[in-house]
Amino acid sequence: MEDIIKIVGIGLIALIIIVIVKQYRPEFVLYISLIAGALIIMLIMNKVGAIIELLSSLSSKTALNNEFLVLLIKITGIAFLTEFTVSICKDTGETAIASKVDLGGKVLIISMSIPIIASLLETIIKILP
Amino acid sequence: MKKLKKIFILELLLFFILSSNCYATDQQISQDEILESQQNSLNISKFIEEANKYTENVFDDISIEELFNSAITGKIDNTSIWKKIINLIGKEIVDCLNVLGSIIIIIVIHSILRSISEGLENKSISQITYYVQYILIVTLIMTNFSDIIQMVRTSIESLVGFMNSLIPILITLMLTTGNIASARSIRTYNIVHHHFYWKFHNSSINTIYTYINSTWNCVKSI
Amino acid sequence: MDISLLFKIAAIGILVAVLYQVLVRAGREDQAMMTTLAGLIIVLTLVIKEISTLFTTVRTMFGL
Repeated sequence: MEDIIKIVGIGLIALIIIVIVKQYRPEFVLYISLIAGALIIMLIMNKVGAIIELLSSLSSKTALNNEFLVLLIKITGIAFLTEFTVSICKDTGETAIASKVDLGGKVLIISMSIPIIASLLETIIKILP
Repeated sequence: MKKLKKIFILELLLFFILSSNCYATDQQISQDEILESQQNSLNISKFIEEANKYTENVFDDISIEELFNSAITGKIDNTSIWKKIINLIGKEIVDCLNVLGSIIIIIVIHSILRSISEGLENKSISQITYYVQYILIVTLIMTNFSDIIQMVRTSIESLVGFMNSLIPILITLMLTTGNIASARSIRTYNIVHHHFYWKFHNSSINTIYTYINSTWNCVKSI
Repeated sequence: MDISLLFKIAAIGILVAVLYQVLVRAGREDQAMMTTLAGLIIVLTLVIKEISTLFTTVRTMFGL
């Protein structure tokens, strides 16, 4: 219960500070939003680690190859980091940089998922006579 | 009535002549000695050996001798035997349930990951991760599916081969017992014969014909 | 990695704003610019440290 209060509190306080500081020094707004985002994510990281451990314990019970689950989690991490940077860039108005980072993230995700697609094609070819 | 009386008297004679004598003793013979003497006289040990040969793959932890002895003395423990029988019959179902369980767990993992990546504002990135996980699930299901297809294919092939080799015998038997109509109704033999064995029969008939010709020529020349 | 960090940066921001206004009113515009830049650089170093911590944590968590 306290975790959600912490997160909500950090968000609201950051919002208030940004509204105040924006009039005097608009350059500081970027730093404040960055810090607020970083704080909230650091608060959640422990729970995310617990979820990932649960997923890997589940996947070790079944016939699922563990490396595929690791790959999926890496892809989720890449998506999350890309999203973080893209939203920060868009907030400050730099949509060009945001779209470049976005494109880079998508390309990386696809290049990481190449083994999965390759295994799918292999399996399909095995079925065909 | 006379016939019946004759049969009755004959039966009584046979009964009294051909019966064997059995006596009771005072001695205390233990049950195990009785069992052993019965086993030795009836050659049951051979039966036990052959039974062991057939069932050593399946019933590893049950020995047939123990089973036999316990069955004779009257104390039968049925539960382990029932378990093994049900294991044999339901093996396929158990495998199917395993696969089903793994699929369900994989789908749970996928839903958790999707809910984490759905929260991102960028629609396209969340869609990409969703599709990658989807492809993974499809791959896993396809491997199981290909196993099933392989099994079905081999079983159908063996079935077709079995029927192919069985139908000529079936038709000849039906002909010999007189069911000519049902034999004629199975005209697949015609098609099979024509399609697969035509060449074989052709070559065999050719060789037989040349053999007969050569013998006839020899006979004529003599 | 506390809420105090947020307050620190907010305090630095307000301080820099106040100093800028004071120096501009006092007529030293270049010093005002320099204090603004100094404040920006201080906040930048603080934030970069935090962001690097965040990124290493995310990297170890997701196994990249």
